[in-house]
Amino acid sequence: MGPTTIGVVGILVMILLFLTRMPVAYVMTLVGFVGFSSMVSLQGGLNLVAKEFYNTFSNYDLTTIPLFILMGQLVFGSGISTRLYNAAHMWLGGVRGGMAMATVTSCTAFGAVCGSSPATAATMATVGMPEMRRFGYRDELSAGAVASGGGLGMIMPPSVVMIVYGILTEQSIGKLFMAGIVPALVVTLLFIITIMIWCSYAPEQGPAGESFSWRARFRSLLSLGEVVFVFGLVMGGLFAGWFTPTEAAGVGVFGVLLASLARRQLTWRKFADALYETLRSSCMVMLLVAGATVFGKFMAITRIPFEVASWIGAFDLPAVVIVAMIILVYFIGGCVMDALALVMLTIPIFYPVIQMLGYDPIWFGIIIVLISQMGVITPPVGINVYVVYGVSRGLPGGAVRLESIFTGVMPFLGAIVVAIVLMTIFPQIITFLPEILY
Amino acid sequence: MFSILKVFDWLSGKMLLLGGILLVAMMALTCVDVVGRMFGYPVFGTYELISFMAALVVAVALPDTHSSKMHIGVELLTTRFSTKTQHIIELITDLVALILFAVVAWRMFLYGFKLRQSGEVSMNLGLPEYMVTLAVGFGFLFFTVAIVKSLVETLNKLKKR
Repeated sequence: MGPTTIGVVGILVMILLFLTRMPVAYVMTLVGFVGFSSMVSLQGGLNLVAKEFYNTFSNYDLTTIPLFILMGQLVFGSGISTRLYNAAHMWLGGVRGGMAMATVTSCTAFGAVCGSSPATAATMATVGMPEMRRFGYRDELSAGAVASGGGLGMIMPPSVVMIVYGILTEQSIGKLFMAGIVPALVVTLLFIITIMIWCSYAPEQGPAGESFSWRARFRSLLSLGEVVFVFGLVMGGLFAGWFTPTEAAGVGVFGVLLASLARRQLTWRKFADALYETLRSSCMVMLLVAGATVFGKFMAITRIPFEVASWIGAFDLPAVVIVAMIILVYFIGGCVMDALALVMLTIPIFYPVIQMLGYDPIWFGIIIVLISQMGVITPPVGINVYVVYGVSRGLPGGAVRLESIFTGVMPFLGAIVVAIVLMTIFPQIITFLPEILY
Repeated sequence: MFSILKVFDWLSGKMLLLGGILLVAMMALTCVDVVGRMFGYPVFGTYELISFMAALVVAVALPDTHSSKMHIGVELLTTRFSTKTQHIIELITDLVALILFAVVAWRMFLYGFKLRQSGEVSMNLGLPEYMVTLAVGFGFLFFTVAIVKSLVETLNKLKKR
Protein backbone atom coordinates (compact mmCIF):
# COMPACT_ATOMS: atom_id res chain seq x y z
CA MET A 1 0.00 0.00 0.00
CA GLY A 2 1.25 3.46 -0.83
CA PRO A 3 1.40 6.16 1.82
CA THR A 4 -1.73 7.89 0.53
CA THR A 5 -3.73 4.64 0.61
CA ILE A 6 -2.68 3.99 4.20
CA GLY A 7 -3.73 7.54 5.04
CA VAL A 8 -7.16 7.08 3.47
CA VAL A 9 -7.62 3.76 5.31
CA GLY A 10 -6.59 5.54 8.51
CA ILE A 11 -9.20 8.25 8.01
CA LEU A 12 -11.91 5.67 7.31
CA VAL A 13 -11.00 3.62 10.39
CA MET A 14 -11.09 6.81 12.42
CA ILE A 15 -14.59 7.68 11.25
CA LEU A 16 -15.75 4.13 12.08
CA LEU A 17 -14.25 4.39 15.55
CA PHE A 18 -15.94 7.75 16.12
CA LEU A 19 -19.27 6.00 15.69
CA THR A 20 -18.58 3.78 18.72
CA ARG A 21 -18.68 6.93 20.89
CA MET A 22 -15.06 6.37 21.86
CA PRO A 23 -13.73 9.80 22.87
CA VAL A 24 -12.45 11.74 19.85
CA ALA A 25 -9.12 12.40 21.57
CA TYR A 26 -8.51 8.69 22.16
CA VAL A 27 -9.42 7.76 18.59
CA MET A 28 -7.09 10.34 17.06
CA THR A 29 -4.23 9.13 19.26
CA LEU A 30 -4.92 5.50 18.42
CA VAL A 31 -5.21 5.97 14.66
CA GLY A 32 -2.23 8.34 14.58
CA PHE A 33 -0.08 5.95 16.59
CA VAL A 34 -1.00 2.79 14.66
CA GLY A 35 -0.79 4.58 11.32
CA PHE A 36 2.57 6.16 12.08
CA SER A 37 3.98 2.87 13.38
CA SER A 38 2.82 0.97 10.32
CA MET A 39 4.50 3.44 7.99
CA VAL A 40 7.71 4.16 9.89
CA SER A 41 8.35 1.53 12.56
CA LEU A 42 6.86 0.40 15.83
CA GLN A 43 9.79 1.90 17.68
CA GLY A 44 9.23 5.22 15.90
CA GLY A 45 5.54 5.20 16.79
CA LEU A 46 6.23 4.35 20.44
CA ASN A 47 8.71 7.18 20.73
CA LEU A 48 6.33 9.54 18.97
CA VAL A 49 3.37 9.16 21.37
CA ALA A 50 5.33 9.81 24.56
CA LYS A 51 7.22 12.73 23.10
CA GLU A 52 4.21 14.42 21.48
CA PHE A 53 2.07 14.03 24.59
CA TYR A 54 4.75 15.46 26.83
CA ASN A 55 5.56 18.32 24.45
CA THR A 56 1.89 19.24 24.11
CA PHE A 57 1.31 19.21 27.85
CA SER A 58 4.36 21.35 28.55
CA ASN A 59 3.86 23.73 25.60
CA TYR A 60 4.07 27.26 27.00
CA ASP A 61 1.64 28.75 24.45
CA LEU A 62 -1.01 26.19 25.31
CA THR A 63 -0.89 27.12 29.01
CA THR A 64 -3.22 29.97 28.00
CA ILE A 65 -6.04 27.46 27.75
CA PRO A 66 -6.42 26.41 31.41
CA LEU A 67 -6.04 30.03 32.51
CA PHE A 68 -8.68 31.42 30.15
CA ILE A 69 -11.04 28.58 31.07
CA LEU A 70 -10.50 29.42 34.73
CA MET A 71 -11.31 33.06 34.01
CA GLY A 72 -14.71 32.12 32.58
CA GLN A 73 -15.42 29.74 35.45
CA LEU A 74 -14.66 32.41 38.01
CA VAL A 75 -16.88 34.95 36.23
CA PHE A 76 -19.71 32.44 36.45
CA GLY A 77 -18.96 31.41 40.05
CA SER A 78 -18.87 34.98 41.28
CA GLY A 79 -22.22 35.93 39.79
CA ILE A 80 -20.82 38.49 37.35
CA SER A 81 -22.68 36.68 34.57
CA THR A 82 -26.01 37.31 36.34
CA ARG A 83 -25.30 41.03 36.58
CA LEU A 84 -24.37 41.13 32.91
CA TYR A 85 -27.68 39.60 32.05
CA ASN A 86 -29.62 41.96 34.28
CA ALA A 87 -28.02 45.01 32.71
CA ALA A 88 -28.79 43.79 29.18
CA HIS A 89 -32.34 43.03 30.29
CA MET A 90 -32.88 46.58 31.52
CA TRP A 91 -31.85 48.03 28.18
CA LEU A 92 -33.60 45.62 25.85
CA GLY A 93 -36.34 43.90 27.88
CA GLY A 94 -39.09 46.39 26.94
CA VAL A 95 -39.40 45.47 23.27
CA ARG A 96 -40.80 42.32 21.70
CA GLY A 97 -38.24 39.54 22.00
CA GLY A 98 -36.12 41.93 24.01
CA MET A 99 -35.05 39.39 26.58
CA ALA A 100 -33.77 37.10 23.87
CA MET A 101 -31.81 40.07 22.53
CA ALA A 102 -30.53 40.68 26.02
CA THR A 103 -29.45 37.04 26.16
CA VAL A 104 -27.38 37.15 22.99
CA THR A 105 -25.87 40.49 23.99
CA SER A 106 -24.84 39.18 27.37
CA CYS A 107 -23.44 36.07 25.67
CA THR A 108 -21.10 38.38 23.76
CA ALA A 109 -20.18 40.25 26.92
CA PHE A 110 -19.59 37.00 28.76
CA GLY A 111 -17.58 35.72 25.80
CA ALA A 112 -15.26 38.67 26.31
CA VAL A 113 -14.02 36.99 29.46
CA CYS A 114 -14.62 33.35 28.56
CA GLY A 115 -12.98 31.26 25.88
CA SER A 116 -15.42 28.45 25.38
CA SER A 117 -18.72 28.16 23.56
CA PRO A 118 -20.43 25.40 25.58
CA ALA A 119 -19.41 27.20 28.78
CA THR A 120 -21.07 30.38 27.54
CA ALA A 121 -24.20 28.48 26.53
CA ALA A 122 -24.35 26.70 29.90
CA THR A 123 -23.86 29.92 31.83
CA MET A 124 -26.46 31.91 29.93
CA ALA A 125 -28.91 29.00 29.98
CA THR A 126 -28.64 28.98 33.77
CA VAL A 127 -29.01 32.73 34.06
CA GLY A 128 -31.32 33.66 31.18
CA MET A 129 -33.73 30.79 30.57
CA PRO A 130 -35.60 30.98 33.90
CA GLU A 131 -36.10 34.72 33.39
CA MET A 132 -37.39 34.29 29.85
CA ARG A 133 -39.77 31.59 31.02
CA ARG A 134 -41.06 33.87 33.74
CA PHE A 135 -42.00 36.43 31.08
CA GLY A 136 -43.82 33.85 28.96
CA TYR A 137 -41.23 33.32 26.23
CA ARG A 138 -41.65 30.20 24.16
CA ASP A 139 -38.95 27.55 24.42
CA GLU A 140 -38.02 27.81 20.74
CA LEU A 141 -36.90 31.42 21.04
CA SER A 142 -35.40 31.27 24.51
CA ALA A 143 -33.46 28.01 24.06
CA GLY A 144 -32.53 28.89 20.49
CA ALA A 145 -31.11 32.24 21.60
CA VAL A 146 -29.11 30.66 24.43
CA ALA A 147 -27.69 27.82 22.33
CA SER A 148 -26.77 30.07 19.40
CA GLY A 149 -25.57 32.88 21.64
CA GLY A 150 -23.15 30.42 23.20
CA GLY A 151 -21.32 30.45 19.90
CA LEU A 152 -20.66 34.16 20.38
CA GLY A 153 -18.58 33.24 23.41
CA MET A 154 -16.21 31.53 21.01
CA ILE A 155 -16.12 34.29 18.38
CA MET A 156 -15.55 37.03 20.95
CA PRO A 157 -11.93 36.80 22.13
CA PRO A 158 -10.38 35.22 24.14
CA SER A 159 -11.26 32.01 22.38
CA VAL A 160 -9.88 28.49 22.72
CA VAL A 161 -10.38 27.71 19.01
CA MET A 162 -8.38 30.81 18.05
CA ILE A 163 -5.54 29.87 20.41
CA VAL A 164 -5.36 26.38 18.95
CA TYR A 165 -5.61 27.68 15.38
CA GLY A 166 -2.89 30.22 16.07
CA ILE A 167 -0.54 27.58 17.45
CA LEU A 168 -1.18 25.07 14.67
CA THR A 169 -0.66 27.63 11.91
CA GLU A 170 1.96 29.76 13.68
CA GLN A 171 -0.16 32.91 13.52
CA SER A 172 -0.13 35.59 16.19
CA ILE A 173 -2.78 34.82 18.80
CA GLY A 174 -2.99 38.50 19.70
CA LYS A 175 -3.79 39.36 16.08
CA LEU A 176 -6.46 36.66 15.92
CA PHE A 177 -8.04 38.02 19.10
CA MET A 178 -8.14 41.54 17.67
CA ALA A 179 -9.60 40.23 14.43
CA GLY A 180 -12.43 38.49 16.30
CA ILE A 181 -13.89 41.54 18.02
CA VAL A 182 -15.72 43.19 15.10
CA PRO A 183 -17.08 39.93 13.64
CA ALA A 184 -18.46 39.05 17.09
CA LEU A 185 -20.26 42.38 17.23
CA VAL A 186 -21.56 41.95 13.67
CA VAL A 187 -22.94 38.51 14.51
CA THR A 188 -24.52 39.86 17.70
CA LEU A 189 -26.24 42.56 15.66
CA LEU A 190 -27.42 40.02 13.08
CA PHE A 191 -28.81 37.85 15.89
CA ILE A 192 -30.73 40.82 17.28
CA ILE A 193 -32.15 41.59 13.84
CA THR A 194 -33.10 37.90 13.50
CA ILE A 195 -35.00 38.04 16.78
CA MET A 196 -36.75 41.25 15.69
CA ILE A 197 -37.90 39.70 12.42
CA TRP A 198 -38.89 36.44 14.11
CA CYS A 199 -40.95 38.18 16.77
CA SER A 200 -42.74 40.36 14.25
CA TYR A 201 -43.95 37.20 12.49
CA ALA A 202 -44.57 35.22 15.67
CA PRO A 203 -45.19 37.68 18.52
CA GLU A 204 -46.20 34.86 20.89
CA GLN A 205 -42.59 33.66 20.94
CA GLY A 206 -41.33 36.67 22.86
CA PRO A 207 -43.86 39.07 24.39
CA ALA A 208 -42.61 42.51 25.35
CA GLY A 209 -41.59 42.82 28.97
CA GLU A 210 -41.47 45.72 31.38
CA SER A 211 -39.60 48.91 30.53
CA PHE A 212 -37.07 50.46 32.83
CA SER A 213 -36.27 54.12 33.41
CA TRP A 214 -33.18 55.58 31.79
CA ARG A 215 -31.82 56.19 35.26
CA ALA A 216 -32.03 52.50 36.15
CA ARG A 217 -30.56 51.60 32.81
CA PHE A 218 -27.50 53.74 33.24
CA ARG A 219 -27.09 52.60 36.80
CA SER A 220 -27.08 48.98 35.60
CA LEU A 221 -24.05 49.79 33.49
CA LEU A 222 -22.02 50.24 36.64
CA SER A 223 -22.24 46.51 37.26
CA LEU A 224 -20.41 45.94 33.99
CA GLY A 225 -17.35 47.57 35.47
CA GLU A 226 -15.32 44.46 36.14
CA VAL A 227 -15.99 42.89 32.76
CA VAL A 228 -14.91 46.07 30.97
CA PHE A 229 -11.91 46.29 33.30
CA VAL A 230 -10.76 42.70 32.78
CA PHE A 231 -11.40 42.70 29.02
CA GLY A 232 -9.60 46.02 28.69
CA LEU A 233 -6.69 44.74 30.75
CA VAL A 234 -6.33 41.51 28.78
CA MET A 235 -6.79 42.92 25.28
CA GLY A 236 -5.09 46.23 26.02
CA GLY A 237 -2.09 44.53 27.57
CA LEU A 238 -1.83 42.13 24.65
CA PHE A 239 -2.07 44.97 22.16
CA ALA A 240 0.37 47.22 23.99
CA GLY A 241 2.84 44.36 24.10
CA TRP A 242 2.98 44.27 27.90
CA PHE A 243 2.46 40.56 27.93
CA THR A 244 2.09 37.31 26.00
CA PRO A 245 -1.33 35.63 25.69
CA THR A 246 -0.43 33.31 28.59
CA GLU A 247 0.48 36.22 30.79
CA ALA A 248 -2.66 38.06 29.70
CA ALA A 249 -4.69 35.06 30.82
CA GLY A 250 -2.89 34.94 34.18
CA VAL A 251 -3.48 38.64 34.75
CA GLY A 252 -7.11 38.28 33.63
CA VAL A 253 -7.75 35.51 36.15
CA PHE A 254 -6.22 37.64 38.84
CA GLY A 255 -8.38 40.60 37.79
CA VAL A 256 -11.59 38.58 37.98
CA LEU A 257 -10.53 37.13 41.32
CA LEU A 258 -9.82 40.60 42.68
CA ALA A 259 -13.12 41.99 41.42
CA SER A 260 -15.17 39.16 42.86
CA LEU A 261 -13.36 39.34 46.20
CA ALA A 262 -13.99 43.08 46.32
CA ARG A 263 -17.70 42.44 45.85
CA ARG A 264 -17.50 39.56 48.35
CA GLN A 265 -19.29 37.25 45.97
CA LEU A 266 -16.96 34.31 45.78
CA THR A 267 -17.19 31.59 48.41
CA TRP A 268 -14.51 28.95 48.94
CA ARG A 269 -16.92 26.34 47.67
CA LYS A 270 -17.52 28.19 44.40
CA PHE A 271 -13.81 28.90 44.02
CA ALA A 272 -12.96 25.21 44.43
CA ASP A 273 -15.73 24.24 41.98
CA ALA A 274 -14.34 26.68 39.43
CA LEU A 275 -10.86 25.19 39.83
CA TYR A 276 -12.05 21.59 39.45
CA GLU A 277 -14.26 22.38 36.47
CA THR A 278 -11.29 24.14 34.87
CA LEU A 279 -9.02 21.15 35.45
CA ARG A 280 -11.46 18.78 33.77
CA SER A 281 -12.15 21.05 30.80
CA SER A 282 -8.47 21.81 30.28
CA CYS A 283 -7.53 18.15 30.49
CA MET A 284 -10.20 17.38 27.90
CA VAL A 285 -8.93 20.10 25.56
CA MET A 286 -5.26 19.25 26.02
CA LEU A 287 -5.81 15.56 25.35
CA LEU A 288 -7.66 16.57 22.21
CA VAL A 289 -4.72 18.75 21.13
CA ALA A 290 -2.23 15.97 21.89
CA GLY A 291 -4.31 13.42 19.99
CA ALA A 292 -4.61 15.78 17.03
CA THR A 293 -0.83 16.31 17.07
CA VAL A 294 -0.15 12.59 16.92
CA PHE A 295 -2.75 12.22 14.18
CA GLY A 296 -1.24 15.21 12.36
CA LYS A 297 2.20 13.57 12.33
CA PHE A 298 0.65 10.52 10.73
CA MET A 299 -1.20 12.66 8.16
CA ALA A 300 2.00 14.54 7.35
CA ILE A 301 3.89 11.39 6.34
CA THR A 302 0.96 10.07 4.29
CA ARG A 303 1.26 13.26 2.22
CA ILE A 304 -2.55 13.49 2.14
CA PRO A 305 -2.61 17.23 2.96
CA PHE A 306 -0.24 17.84 0.07
CA GLU A 307 -2.23 15.62 -2.27
CA VAL A 308 -5.49 17.33 -1.38
CA ALA A 309 -3.95 20.75 -1.92
CA SER A 310 -2.56 19.86 -5.34
CA TRP A 311 -5.75 18.01 -6.28
CA ILE A 312 -7.87 21.05 -5.50
CA GLY A 313 -5.31 23.28 -7.21
CA ALA A 314 -5.53 21.19 -10.37
CA PHE A 315 -9.24 21.95 -10.68
CA ASP A 316 -8.39 25.48 -11.65
CA LEU A 317 -11.57 26.79 -10.05
CA PRO A 318 -11.96 30.36 -8.85
CA ALA A 319 -10.60 30.74 -5.31
CA VAL A 320 -14.02 31.71 -3.96
CA VAL A 321 -15.52 28.42 -5.12
CA ILE A 322 -12.75 26.46 -3.40
CA VAL A 323 -13.24 28.41 -0.19
CA ALA A 324 -16.98 27.78 -0.45
CA MET A 325 -16.25 24.06 -0.82
CA ILE A 326 -14.01 24.08 2.24
CA ILE A 327 -16.69 25.94 4.20
CA LEU A 328 -19.21 23.31 3.13
CA VAL A 329 -16.91 20.52 4.34
CA TYR A 330 -16.61 22.24 7.72
CA PHE A 331 -20.33 22.70 7.88
CA ILE A 332 -21.01 19.02 7.24
CA GLY A 333 -18.19 17.98 9.56
CA GLY A 334 -19.52 20.32 12.22
CA CYS A 335 -22.84 18.49 12.13
CA VAL A 336 -21.27 15.31 13.45
CA MET A 337 -18.21 16.51 15.36
CA ASP A 338 -17.13 18.88 18.07
CA ALA A 339 -15.87 22.22 16.74
CA LEU A 340 -12.44 22.15 18.34
CA ALA A 341 -11.77 18.54 17.38
CA LEU A 342 -12.82 19.26 13.82
CA VAL A 343 -10.56 22.31 13.53
CA MET A 344 -7.57 20.39 14.82
CA LEU A 345 -8.28 17.45 12.56
CA THR A 346 -8.66 19.45 9.37
CA ILE A 347 -6.21 22.35 9.71
CA PRO A 348 -3.24 20.26 8.57
CA ILE A 349 -5.24 19.39 5.44
CA PHE A 350 -6.91 22.70 4.55
CA TYR A 351 -4.43 25.27 5.76
CA PRO A 352 -1.94 24.59 2.91
CA VAL A 353 -4.79 25.02 0.42
CA ILE A 354 -5.75 28.39 1.88
CA GLN A 355 -2.13 29.51 1.82
CA MET A 356 -1.77 28.36 -1.78
CA LEU A 357 -4.81 30.41 -2.75
CA GLY A 358 -3.26 33.46 -1.15
CA TYR A 359 -5.90 34.11 1.50
CA ASP A 360 -5.08 35.92 4.71
CA PRO A 361 -4.49 33.25 7.43
CA ILE A 362 -6.02 35.56 10.05
CA TRP A 363 -9.16 35.96 7.94
CA PHE A 364 -9.43 32.21 7.50
CA GLY A 365 -8.98 31.65 11.23
CA ILE A 366 -11.97 33.83 12.05
CA ILE A 367 -14.06 32.27 9.27
CA ILE A 368 -13.24 28.84 10.73
CA VAL A 369 -14.38 30.00 14.15
CA LEU A 370 -17.63 31.29 12.63
CA ILE A 371 -18.26 28.04 10.80
CA SER A 372 -17.45 25.92 13.81
CA GLN A 373 -20.08 27.94 15.66
CA MET A 374 -22.61 26.72 13.17
CA GLY A 375 -21.36 23.24 13.97
CA VAL A 376 -22.14 23.54 17.67
CA ILE A 377 -25.83 24.16 17.00
CA THR A 378 -26.59 21.97 13.99
CA PRO A 379 -28.24 18.58 14.43
CA PRO A 380 -27.49 15.80 15.12
CA VAL A 381 -24.38 16.61 17.19
CA GLY A 382 -24.78 20.22 18.26
CA ILE A 383 -22.95 20.31 21.55
CA ASN A 384 -24.53 23.60 22.64
CA VAL A 385 -28.00 22.23 22.05
CA TYR A 386 -27.24 19.31 24.37
CA VAL A 387 -25.68 21.62 26.91
CA VAL A 388 -28.79 23.82 26.95
CA TYR A 389 -30.97 20.72 27.13
CA GLY A 390 -28.88 19.40 30.02
CA VAL A 391 -29.06 22.67 31.93
CA SER A 392 -32.81 23.04 31.30
CA ARG A 393 -33.50 19.72 33.05
CA GLY A 394 -32.49 21.33 36.31
CA LEU A 395 -34.52 24.53 35.82
CA PRO A 396 -37.97 25.39 37.15
CA GLY A 397 -40.52 24.37 34.52
CA GLY A 398 -38.56 21.29 33.48
CA ALA A 399 -36.65 20.27 30.40
CA VAL A 400 -37.03 21.88 27.01
CA ARG A 401 -37.77 19.44 24.23
CA LEU A 402 -34.72 18.79 22.06
CA GLU A 403 -36.77 19.39 18.91
CA SER A 404 -37.77 22.83 20.20
CA ILE A 405 -34.13 23.80 20.62
CA PHE A 406 -33.18 22.53 17.17
CA THR A 407 -36.13 24.43 15.67
CA GLY A 408 -35.13 27.48 17.67
CA VAL A 409 -31.56 27.61 16.40
CA MET A 410 -32.56 27.54 12.70
CA PRO A 411 -33.15 31.30 12.27
CA PHE A 412 -29.83 31.99 14.01
CA LEU A 413 -28.10 29.52 11.72
CA GLY A 414 -29.34 31.64 8.84
CA ALA A 415 -27.86 34.72 10.49
CA ILE A 416 -24.43 33.08 10.76
CA VAL A 417 -24.59 32.12 7.07
CA VAL A 418 -25.31 35.77 6.26
CA ALA A 419 -22.35 36.78 8.44
CA ILE A 420 -19.99 34.37 6.66
CA VAL A 421 -21.09 35.53 3.21
CA LEU A 422 -20.73 39.14 4.34
CA MET A 423 -17.23 38.57 5.65
CA THR A 424 -16.17 36.68 2.55
CA ILE A 425 -17.29 39.56 0.33
CA PHE A 426 -15.85 42.16 2.71
CA PRO A 427 -12.84 40.52 4.37
CA GLN A 428 -11.99 43.98 5.76
CA ILE A 429 -14.60 43.43 8.49
CA ILE A 430 -12.13 40.92 9.92
CA THR A 431 -8.77 42.28 8.86
CA PHE A 432 -9.05 46.03 9.36
CA LEU A 433 -8.72 46.10 13.15
CA PRO A 434 -5.56 43.95 13.40
CA GLU A 435 -4.10 45.89 10.46
CA ILE A 436 -4.62 49.23 12.20
CA LEU A 437 -3.35 48.00 15.54
CA TYR A 438 -0.36 45.97 14.43
CA MET B 1 -11.08 -4.95 44.66
CA PHE B 2 -13.51 -2.38 46.03
CA SER B 3 -11.16 -1.10 48.67
CA ILE B 4 -8.51 -0.58 46.01
CA LEU B 5 -10.99 1.43 43.99
CA LYS B 6 -11.81 3.49 47.07
CA VAL B 7 -8.14 4.28 47.58
CA PHE B 8 -8.06 5.26 43.93
CA ASP B 9 -11.02 7.61 44.33
CA TRP B 10 -9.36 9.23 47.33
CA LEU B 11 -6.13 9.57 45.42
CA SER B 12 -7.69 11.06 42.29
CA GLY B 13 -9.47 13.58 44.53
CA LYS B 14 -6.15 14.56 46.08
CA MET B 15 -4.57 14.82 42.64
CA LEU B 16 -7.30 17.20 41.60
CA LEU B 17 -6.63 19.28 44.69
CA LEU B 18 -2.97 19.44 43.74
CA GLY B 19 -4.00 20.55 40.27
CA GLY B 20 -6.09 23.35 41.75
CA ILE B 21 -3.18 24.56 43.83
CA LEU B 22 -0.95 24.47 40.75
CA LEU B 23 -3.47 26.51 38.76
CA VAL B 24 -3.51 29.20 41.42
CA ALA B 25 0.29 29.11 41.54
CA MET B 26 0.45 29.55 37.75
CA MET B 27 -1.78 32.59 37.96
CA ALA B 28 0.17 34.08 40.86
CA LEU B 29 3.54 33.49 39.22
CA THR B 30 2.55 35.13 35.91
CA CYS B 31 1.15 38.15 37.75
CA VAL B 32 4.23 38.57 39.91
CA ASP B 33 6.41 38.21 36.82
CA VAL B 34 4.43 40.77 34.77
CA VAL B 35 4.31 43.31 37.59
CA GLY B 36 7.94 42.65 38.49
CA ARG B 37 9.03 43.15 34.91
CA MET B 38 7.43 46.59 34.85
CA PHE B 39 9.68 47.57 37.71
CA GLY B 40 12.68 45.86 36.21
CA TYR B 41 12.56 42.69 38.34
CA PRO B 42 11.13 39.85 36.26
CA VAL B 43 10.99 36.44 37.92
CA PHE B 44 13.82 34.43 36.43
CA GLY B 45 12.72 31.18 34.79
CA THR B 46 8.97 31.91 34.80
CA TYR B 47 8.62 30.49 31.29
CA GLU B 48 9.93 27.07 32.35
CA LEU B 49 8.09 26.96 35.64
CA ILE B 50 4.79 27.77 33.95
CA SER B 51 5.34 25.08 31.31
CA PHE B 52 6.19 22.49 33.96
CA MET B 53 3.21 23.40 36.11
CA ALA B 54 0.89 23.29 33.09
CA ALA B 55 2.11 19.78 32.23
CA LEU B 56 1.42 18.70 35.80
CA VAL B 57 -2.02 20.36 35.79
CA VAL B 58 -3.08 18.25 32.83
CA ALA B 59 -1.43 15.10 34.15
CA VAL B 60 -3.13 15.17 37.56
CA ALA B 61 -6.54 15.76 35.97
CA LEU B 62 -6.27 12.75 33.61
CA PRO B 63 -7.95 10.11 35.84
CA ASP B 64 -10.81 12.30 37.04
CA THR B 65 -11.53 13.64 33.56
CA HIS B 66 -11.99 10.10 32.29
CA SER B 67 -14.09 9.04 35.28
CA SER B 68 -16.42 12.02 34.98
CA LYS B 69 -16.82 11.29 31.24
CA MET B 70 -15.75 14.76 30.18
CA HIS B 71 -14.19 13.65 26.91
CA ILE B 72 -16.16 14.45 23.79
CA GLY B 73 -17.47 11.59 21.72
CA VAL B 74 -19.77 11.32 18.72
CA GLU B 75 -23.20 10.19 19.95
CA LEU B 76 -24.69 9.65 16.56
CA LEU B 77 -25.11 5.91 16.35
CA THR B 78 -24.70 4.39 19.81
CA THR B 79 -27.77 6.08 21.32
CA ARG B 80 -29.95 4.07 18.93
CA PHE B 81 -28.73 0.75 20.32
CA SER B 82 -30.12 -1.09 23.35
CA THR B 83 -28.48 -0.37 26.69
CA LYS B 84 -26.86 -3.79 26.66
CA THR B 85 -25.27 -3.27 23.25
CA GLN B 86 -24.10 0.17 24.39
CA HIS B 87 -22.43 -1.38 27.43
CA ILE B 88 -20.71 -4.01 25.31
CA ILE B 89 -19.42 -1.37 22.89
CA GLU B 90 -18.21 0.67 25.86
CA LEU B 91 -16.43 -2.40 27.24
CA ILE B 92 -14.55 -2.90 23.98
CA THR B 93 -13.61 0.76 23.46
CA ASP B 94 -12.49 1.05 27.09
CA LEU B 95 -10.33 -2.02 26.63
CA VAL B 96 -8.72 -0.49 23.54
CA ALA B 97 -8.21 2.80 25.41
CA LEU B 98 -6.67 0.87 28.32
CA ILE B 99 -4.06 -0.73 26.07
CA LEU B 100 -3.38 2.54 24.27
CA PHE B 101 -2.79 4.62 27.38
CA ALA B 102 -0.89 1.85 29.16
CA VAL B 103 1.51 2.09 26.22
CA VAL B 104 1.63 5.89 26.55
CA ALA B 105 2.34 5.59 30.31
CA TRP B 106 5.08 3.02 29.72
CA ARG B 107 6.74 5.14 27.02
CA MET B 108 6.41 8.27 29.15
CA PHE B 109 8.41 6.59 31.93
CA LEU B 110 11.02 5.42 29.41
CA TYR B 111 11.17 8.94 27.98
CA GLY B 112 11.70 10.30 31.49
CA PHE B 113 14.50 7.83 32.20
CA LYS B 114 16.11 8.72 28.90
CA LEU B 115 16.04 12.41 29.80
CA ARG B 116 17.60 11.60 33.16
CA GLN B 117 20.37 9.58 31.59
CA SER B 118 21.21 12.31 29.15
CA GLY B 119 21.44 14.61 32.16
CA GLU B 120 19.34 17.23 30.43
CA VAL B 121 18.31 20.18 32.60
CA SER B 122 16.03 23.13 31.88
CA MET B 123 17.54 26.09 30.12
CA ASN B 124 17.38 28.84 32.73
CA LEU B 125 16.95 27.35 36.17
CA GLY B 126 18.79 24.10 35.51
CA LEU B 127 15.88 22.06 36.85
CA PRO B 128 15.86 18.35 36.07
CA GLU B 129 13.07 18.12 33.54
CA TYR B 130 12.87 14.32 33.74
CA MET B 131 11.07 14.65 37.08
CA VAL B 132 8.17 16.40 35.36
CA THR B 133 8.16 13.78 32.62
CA LEU B 134 8.04 10.99 35.21
CA ALA B 135 5.22 12.79 37.03
CA VAL B 136 3.30 12.97 33.76
CA GLY B 137 4.00 9.24 33.42
CA PHE B 138 2.37 8.69 36.81
CA GLY B 139 -0.58 10.75 35.64
CA PHE B 140 -1.02 8.37 32.71
CA LEU B 141 -0.59 5.37 35.02
CA PHE B 142 -3.48 6.58 37.17
CA PHE B 143 -5.39 7.34 34.01
CA THR B 144 -5.18 3.64 33.09
CA VAL B 145 -6.43 2.76 36.58
CA ALA B 146 -9.40 5.06 35.94
CA ILE B 147 -10.09 3.17 32.73
CA VAL B 148 -9.91 -0.16 34.62
CA LYS B 149 -12.39 1.28 37.10
CA SER B 150 -14.87 2.21 34.40
CA LEU B 151 -14.37 -1.26 32.86
CA VAL B 152 -15.32 -2.88 36.17
CA GLU B 153 -18.33 -0.61 36.48
CA THR B 154 -19.56 -1.44 32.99
CA LEU B 155 -19.06 -5.15 33.69
CA ASN B 156 -21.15 -4.84 36.85
CA LYS B 157 -23.91 -3.09 34.92
CA LEU B 158 -23.91 -5.92 32.39
CA LYS B 159 -24.05 -8.56 35.13
CA LYS B 160 -26.98 -6.91 36.88
CA ARG B 161 -29.19 -7.20 33.83
